[in-house]
Amino acid sequence: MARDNTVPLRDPDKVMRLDRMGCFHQTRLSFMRTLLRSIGGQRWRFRRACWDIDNNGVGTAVYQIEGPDRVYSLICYANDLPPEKRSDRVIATEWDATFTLFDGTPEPADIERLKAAVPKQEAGHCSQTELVLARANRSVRLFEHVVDSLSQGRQPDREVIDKVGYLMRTTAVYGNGKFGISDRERISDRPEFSSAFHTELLAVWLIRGFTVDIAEHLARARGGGRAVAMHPGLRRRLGVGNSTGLGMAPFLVLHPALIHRWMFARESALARVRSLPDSTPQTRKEFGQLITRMKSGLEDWVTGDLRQQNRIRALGKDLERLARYTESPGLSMPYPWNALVTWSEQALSLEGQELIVTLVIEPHGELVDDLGPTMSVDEARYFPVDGSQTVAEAIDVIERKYGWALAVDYSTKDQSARFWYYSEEKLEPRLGQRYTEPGAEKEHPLAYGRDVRALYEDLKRLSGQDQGGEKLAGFLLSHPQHRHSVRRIQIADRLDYAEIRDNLISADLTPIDLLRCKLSFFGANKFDPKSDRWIRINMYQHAPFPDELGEYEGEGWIYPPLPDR
Amino acid sequence: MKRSLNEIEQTCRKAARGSGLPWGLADDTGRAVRWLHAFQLDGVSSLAALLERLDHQRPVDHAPESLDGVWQGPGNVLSPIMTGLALSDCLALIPERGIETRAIACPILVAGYVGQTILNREQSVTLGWLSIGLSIYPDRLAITGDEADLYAVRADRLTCEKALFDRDCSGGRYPKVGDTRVNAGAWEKLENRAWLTYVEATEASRLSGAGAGLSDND
Repeated sequence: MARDNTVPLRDPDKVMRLDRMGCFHQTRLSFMRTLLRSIGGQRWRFRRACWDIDNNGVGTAVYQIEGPDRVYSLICYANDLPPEKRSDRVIATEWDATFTLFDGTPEPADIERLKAAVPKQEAGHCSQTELVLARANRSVRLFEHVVDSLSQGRQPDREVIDKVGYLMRTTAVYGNGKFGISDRERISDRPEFSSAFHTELLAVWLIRGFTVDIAEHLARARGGGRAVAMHPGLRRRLGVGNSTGLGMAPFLVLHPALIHRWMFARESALARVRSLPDSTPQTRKEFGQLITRMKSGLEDWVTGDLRQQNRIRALGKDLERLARYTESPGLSMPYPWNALVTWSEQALSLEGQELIVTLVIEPHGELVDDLGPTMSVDEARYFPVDGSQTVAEAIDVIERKYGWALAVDYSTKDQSARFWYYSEEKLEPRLGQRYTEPGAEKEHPLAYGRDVRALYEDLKRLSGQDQGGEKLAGFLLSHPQHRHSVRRIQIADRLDYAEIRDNLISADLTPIDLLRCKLSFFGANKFDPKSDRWIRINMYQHAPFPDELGEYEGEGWIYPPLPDR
Repeated sequence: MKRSLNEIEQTCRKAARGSGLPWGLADDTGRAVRWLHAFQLDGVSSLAALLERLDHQRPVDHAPESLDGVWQGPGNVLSPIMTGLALSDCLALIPERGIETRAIACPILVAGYVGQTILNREQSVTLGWLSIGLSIYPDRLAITGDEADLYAVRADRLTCEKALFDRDCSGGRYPKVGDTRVNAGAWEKLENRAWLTYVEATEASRLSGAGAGLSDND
């Protein structure tokens, strides 16, 4: 499609800020959406190949999904976990269920071999035929309600379902070579896994099917002939929960080239829509329906977190303002989507502004869906340092791209209050208080603002001594401590959205902003912060189930259905 | 024992950091050893031996003092880490006559640093030490010489020259993704060094941990 990109992409200085990134919502380019669009469009076939689970819910199940070229199998090991052992934290050693996504069709010997490794998770060791390793725990309040209702021949209560939104929560989903499973590059040339995290999200989608099957199974075990299956409409309201802590936070910092691709695709989609000279009756109608569906989604967005409660309340008011806007001035003026976005920047909260990004992109699949496959990258291309760059050129890059970092005084306690480290107990990233807790000498390189500023000061000193022409290859021989910063500035120079433009060690950092941003790209919903460093989410709520792929209705599944449907 | 390439990269990265190297060097070291193992070359054993030798020594004390003339450091032996990195940083600047160094430790590791850079460029080089000629091309490598010299712990000189590469020619060794064998003893040494990058938990850190004090039984 010929495109008139009259409206430029939003400035990275505006977008790459944590307060805004912490307000991102899923879009049609999010990875759960692109995955289901791709396998639904190709009519992948699904079957439950094995169900060997006893009346206590202990045993093995295998789900298979077959695309044009390959078969993948989710092997599930179900457990009867005593409540006192149920913990979502990474320190847990037993779970209600553990899973692996197997490359191909497992032989009975594979299932036996993996029975010794998968239930142990980090403590086991898998092999290259396993693509994902995951586990999940039941939501006690909802799981029991659903099993109990179904066993007595009743459908569970919709309000109780909506309050929680999932039967089980995954507490870790590992991919890419972790604990011996397949390295990503072994499978990255397969079209179905061309986008980031499609492998992990395929596993989660299949796990969602298991969570309902195991509940129905236990209901039958309890109620016998009285028991009923879940109504399909009600079943759709169940996603998979997930708890995410700081483990995920450093990812956005350690993969600058990839983050650029994600952001660039999202911002490009927005710019394309804003550049449309007019709207069509069809997109106006769809947009109006989206507002209604979002309103209903807000009602089910439950959180105990005060900050998020206030934001949801503000978002509700934003949606009312938006509904009024669509009546007057409306969307019939020239460049209507651009006018709407411009208006939102003055009229709405940050949550509201970023929701507008999601909503205006949504009805424009034909215009933006080609951006989905651009959201991965061969990071190795950006990794090497260009030693032929001169000191003067590096100074220029920093002054152009890191104004935000040079403006911070890292010698003050507030601006250097935290340090990122990996804990010996959990082997997971943590955030410490630099001036009161031990361990700052083992800090991980997430304080890139401070480090780039230190690099800048050394470069300026050299340039002041008339050595601005020196090559960085020579500079790094005598200043090896700056190597990681040199790599970052060279990547940031090539890729506008590579760097979050905020100080990640300041006292007022809210770490969950990092998590929310990443999870929105996954396609997560119902963000429910449990503290400033831990968040619960819902994945695949309202999505078709694997056994519904044949009747896959395409787009927009992620928004709750219209009230009359 | 078998390990994935990602496990090799992460463990080597942390082991390098745990031995006192700055993060940027540790990042490259993880990539370099991963690259070697993708070509079925045992970088893990060489890195374990090298880190034992250079434990917590300053990188500049084993780095080339200048990139002009024959490369040599202030000490007796050059580190393959600083030398390998300098070579990869300078790939665009290699003179026609090539580059030559004085004595260097574990020269196979140099191939890792140079190799992970070459894969992204239309450029080829041949590294030489003892009887070994190791040519690195954008898609493969070729090794000549005595196998015993490949993992030498020291060579009196190393050379790096531009190589000619014909993409259509046959032969050579291609990268392979999949389970990779590592030497169990060396792996344990690296894991012990990686462990030094972790911070011991305290009561305060437990209390401020990600999900501390919250029940998950919802």
